[in-house]
Amino acid sequence: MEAISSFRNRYGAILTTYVFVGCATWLIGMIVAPQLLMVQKSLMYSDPAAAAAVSQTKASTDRLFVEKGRAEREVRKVEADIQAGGAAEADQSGGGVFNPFGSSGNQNAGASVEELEARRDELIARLGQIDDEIAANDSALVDAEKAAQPRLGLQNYFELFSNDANRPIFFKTIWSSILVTLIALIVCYPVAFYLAVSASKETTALLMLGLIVPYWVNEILRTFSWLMLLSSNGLINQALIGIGLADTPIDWRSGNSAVLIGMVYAYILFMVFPIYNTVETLDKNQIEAARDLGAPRWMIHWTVVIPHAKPGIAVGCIMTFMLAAGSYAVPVMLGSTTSKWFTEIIYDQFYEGGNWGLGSAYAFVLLITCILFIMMMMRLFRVNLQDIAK
Amino acid sequence: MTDTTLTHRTGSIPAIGDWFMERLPGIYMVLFFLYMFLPLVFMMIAAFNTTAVPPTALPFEGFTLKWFGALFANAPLLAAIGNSLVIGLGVIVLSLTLGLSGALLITRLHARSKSALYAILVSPLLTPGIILGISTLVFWNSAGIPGGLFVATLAQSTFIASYCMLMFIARLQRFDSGLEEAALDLGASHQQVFWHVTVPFLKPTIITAGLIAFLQSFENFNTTVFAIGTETTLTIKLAALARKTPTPEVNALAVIFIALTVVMAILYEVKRRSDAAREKVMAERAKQAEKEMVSLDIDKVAATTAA
Amino acid sequence: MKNIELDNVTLRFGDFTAVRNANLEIKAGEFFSFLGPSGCGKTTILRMISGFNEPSEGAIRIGGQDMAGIGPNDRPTALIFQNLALFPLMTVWENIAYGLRVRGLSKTDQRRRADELLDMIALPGQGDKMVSELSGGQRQRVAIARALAVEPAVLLLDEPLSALDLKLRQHMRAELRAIQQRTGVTFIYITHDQGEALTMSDRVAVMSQGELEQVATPSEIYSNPKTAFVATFVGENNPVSGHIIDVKNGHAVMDTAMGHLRARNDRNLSVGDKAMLFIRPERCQVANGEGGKENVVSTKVERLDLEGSYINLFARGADGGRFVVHMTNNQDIAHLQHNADVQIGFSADEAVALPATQMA
Repeated sequence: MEAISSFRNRYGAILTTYVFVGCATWLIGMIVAPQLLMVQKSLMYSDPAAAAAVSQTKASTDRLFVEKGRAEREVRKVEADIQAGGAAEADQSGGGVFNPFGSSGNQNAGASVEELEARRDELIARLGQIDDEIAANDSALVDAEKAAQPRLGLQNYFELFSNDANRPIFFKTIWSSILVTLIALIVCYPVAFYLAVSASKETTALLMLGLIVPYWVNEILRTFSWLMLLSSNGLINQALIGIGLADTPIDWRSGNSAVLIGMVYAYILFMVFPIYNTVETLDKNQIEAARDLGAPRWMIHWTVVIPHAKPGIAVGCIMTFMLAAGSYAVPVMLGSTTSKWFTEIIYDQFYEGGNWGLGSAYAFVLLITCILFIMMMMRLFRVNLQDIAK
Repeated sequence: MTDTTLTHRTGSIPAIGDWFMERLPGIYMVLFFLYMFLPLVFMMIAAFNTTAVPPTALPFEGFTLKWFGALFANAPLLAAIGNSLVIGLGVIVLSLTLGLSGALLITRLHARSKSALYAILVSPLLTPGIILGISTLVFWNSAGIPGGLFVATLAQSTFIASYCMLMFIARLQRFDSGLEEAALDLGASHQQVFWHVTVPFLKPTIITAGLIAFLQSFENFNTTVFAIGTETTLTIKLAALARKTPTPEVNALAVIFIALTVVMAILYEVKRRSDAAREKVMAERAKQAEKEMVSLDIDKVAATTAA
Repeated sequence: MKNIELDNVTLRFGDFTAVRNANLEIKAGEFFSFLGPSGCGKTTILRMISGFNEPSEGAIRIGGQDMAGIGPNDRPTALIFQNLALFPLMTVWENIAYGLRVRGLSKTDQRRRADELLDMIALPGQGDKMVSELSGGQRQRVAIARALAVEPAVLLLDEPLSALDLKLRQHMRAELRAIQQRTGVTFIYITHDQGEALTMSDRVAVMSQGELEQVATPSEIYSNPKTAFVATFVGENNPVSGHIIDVKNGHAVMDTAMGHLRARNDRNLSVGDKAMLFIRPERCQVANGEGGKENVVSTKVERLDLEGSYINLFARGADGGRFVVHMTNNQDIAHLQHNADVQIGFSADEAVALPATQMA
């Protein structure tokens, strides 16, 4: 409170209001509350069997109402026939001649009044039955709906681990994302090192510009460029067949390879920049000194450069993993039905299955996975959040 | 000098090996940049190839510009651009406003809870985009507002504001708060201080942050695809088009995007260099002025201040 | 004309007390300096007068009006910052006219006043330059012009010369003093440089650890320090510790490791009090048994430093304490060999006995 009032003295009431209202809106209204609501949604579970029972009961009631309507119409007709008992027979002789299609379906035609009365009583009895059944259905519906009500519970989370189709996809997504992160790290470290240490200042400026351009090209387009290269008559297959390494086009997209290739390409620059930024702050004399002392190349990297670049490596890995595990663009474009990504399962829950509770639970599991990965990297590289945000 | 030490130690490496080792980093960099650029180049070539479906760079059967014409005749795509622009403008306004408020609070509040606040406000950057889309969708849906442009704008701003905040914090850390005190001391109101001193100092960051916010919004797919509901944006339309029925129109759009990116990168570099050059000139003049220091005419002081 | 009063002003930051019970009146038109080492609270006093900090206790009055609750933008003060705080994105004239701009003056009036002030600070026609094109001394003057443009009753200067090199600093001292005398604006000047404080000021307040040690004219501060801190912080002084054994006629006799010494007893110490005797190096003479001085101490020569117009004699007393004597460079120094015995004499009126408190 004291901090707020000193802030107010320093910056005036209007600015203070703006700053605090802005931050509160963002922090609560856009970050915390939506996340909490998503978690709450994920904890709401409705039993699929109960839901099925509800819809069954509803359908049966609908059927009964249709039957009731039909029976009531028939009762009215029979009664009309009874009223005009004789006329019906006269009508039948005349009508039979003049209107062969008239009164069609009238089973009562030519029936005696006694017969008609018996038919009416039978129908009225049936109507009573129908009413009883509808009442029974209605009370059953109340119970079924109660059973189908979303309830607080962890069932949505258990579902993921008992679902034999989705569970392997979840673990595959994690494992593949780690693989993408590792590949990106191995490919990027030399690039970042070269840019930060070996290249002249002018060259670095030019090359950085060269990296910024693909960085700012739309993720969809970057992925699309690989979709073209990897398609069955794409350049890669043309080349492989051309030099005789393959007889028929390889279907990259049916397995995971296309997705992995696309992801490394799409997210590799998120690895380069953080590592470059930290290596760049390294005092180059340290490398010279290590070299003078006769340290072989790999040892200079292992003992001088990498320890210094730790925060950058941690940030690069965190970003790459997070982007890969949470990517929807790349798998949806480069994958196929046989190589689904976990994010696609989540999307289906929201926009095809309509089960938002389950979707929210899956999303939360993904979030927890990313948080665990971040914490692991922070522990492993001994960096804190401030380092990461740089 | 250090290389000689190395060769002495491992004296038997043949010359060709030395030659290779020396050039290895350069070769690696060339390969890396080929890897970065070749896919984009092939994608752009296909935009000018007469071959229609699926688009491909090779074999190049003939030069044409017809795909650009087809692109501009594609009404749904153009409508999607409109949506993207609306969301982008909303995101600029919202992210700059929120990001600046966060940056001001974090650089200027003296309280212990600051680091927790910071952690929460940067957390959207470390959250997968789809989570932000889903949580925003769920949140607004429970208030009866379905996915659409509004929800997408909010979902995107959640993390784009964090980017803006980090940029503002970096700028504000180089800000001499004495300037604000000086203005206040000379009689400016708090609002005047903000608009005369703080905002002009932040202006370059406001421009770059706004630009980056727009680009982030324009290209965003992962967050938007969840928050957009039944509406669409250019990026989402593009993904659907590229995935289901790719035509060279997609490539034509790619050419335009990449060209714009390159132009902006070049403009940025030119601006950076001219700024550096101007600063150099200023410092030069200050040095010159040092030499030409003139003594104060004290009587004149009396005359003017008495007036 | 507006006097400035500090009435029992205290400022605490949490557990730390930056300024304690400051009582002071600065007269209108005075050149007043706060002198003290860094962290002594002098800048905090300045920030309280200008309104950036509110006192925890006590009141600040300018022209009799209590300043509590009045922001820096509504006080008749103008502050010159240590780093000058010129607006880097405005031109020189826009900087100078800023105070007029926020007061709603028309652009032509602003420009005219800025040009006048530019003439005044000997930068005519330089109004359209950017601040970064100016030299250090020129920026200094622009900062002064910007502050004077709003015609403040009080100009507060926070070590404004500390960033300049020595020659320019001395030059600017003279300029500042001249501007103050001709404009008649009250100057309150903060510095850790005693040379600046003593040469420019009408009065000086010496501060240490948040407290005012002494407020007096420069010559008073130098000749009649009231505390051990002032005696040692301002100028050089030879300290001798001991306790009072006799007081009479405004003098005290102290028992010290160098024998019984007499000094002025300005602080009315009583017999038995622990005390410090201070004697300036230039007020000591090499006595060599000639007598005539009331105090004579026996020391051994440690070394002689030739400074030019005078010679520094470093000697060590019986208690191991060091004694410095500034000798004019017209004396026979042949006998002052290393380890030679030397008698140092000084009169009781030149020495002062003060309570044994912390020294600088």
